[in-house]
Amino acid sequence: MNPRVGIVLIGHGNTATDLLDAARGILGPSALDGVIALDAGVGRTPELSAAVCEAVAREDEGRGVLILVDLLGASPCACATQEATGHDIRIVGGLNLAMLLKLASIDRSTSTLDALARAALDAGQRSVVELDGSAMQGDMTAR
Amino acid sequence: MTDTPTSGTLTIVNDLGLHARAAAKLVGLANKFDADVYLEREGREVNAKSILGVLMLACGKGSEIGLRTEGPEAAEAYAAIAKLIEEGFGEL
Repeated sequence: MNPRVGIVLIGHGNTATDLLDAARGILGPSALDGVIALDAGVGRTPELSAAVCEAVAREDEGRGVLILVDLLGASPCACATQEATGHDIRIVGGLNLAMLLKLASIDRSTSTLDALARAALDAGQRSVVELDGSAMQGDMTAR
Repeated sequence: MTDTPTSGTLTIVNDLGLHARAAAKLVGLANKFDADVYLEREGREVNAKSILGVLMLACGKGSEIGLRTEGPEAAEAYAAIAKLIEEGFGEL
């Protein structure tokens, strides 16, 4: 199998695992194969640092690792920045389900780290919208 | 040329509408064909091979949606996807 671009999810509480499970619940259990989800609990701990370090090393098959964090600047994000030294990484904040659904549709053995990071950003940003007033009557179309 | 339809209007019949898992089924099916597949609702057309695009249409039960296919397997794609929608994504 060709080397793939790696993906690591890091979120507060259990959100990383829950989001990955949710994406697989929608797309099927084999979706986002090999992606690692790290649950950061309530903050940075030595265990989390070690887990990030190990996850990035495991995901790095030589084509880089995309790290998705839920909140920029918070401990999981700081942890990712510090523990990922020596690897070709990109960090994108605002981890959400739309990003994961988008990433699942991309072949990580032929795509690039840069393309995956852009796809995650684009999908995440497009998914944050306000619904118009008629949403209350059942029409959920976004503005 | 075939006289099999490659475009038409369909109604979402299952109670949950075109929800995430239903959208995933539709997109998975669309991706099996060598064809471009588009869904349209109220003037907004999206690529039916993208789950985020399909979800953006936010189709509830009773929504009328346009299905349009192009390419070498357009007729087969139309028939298969129309069937999936008409059968309520297997949820009826």
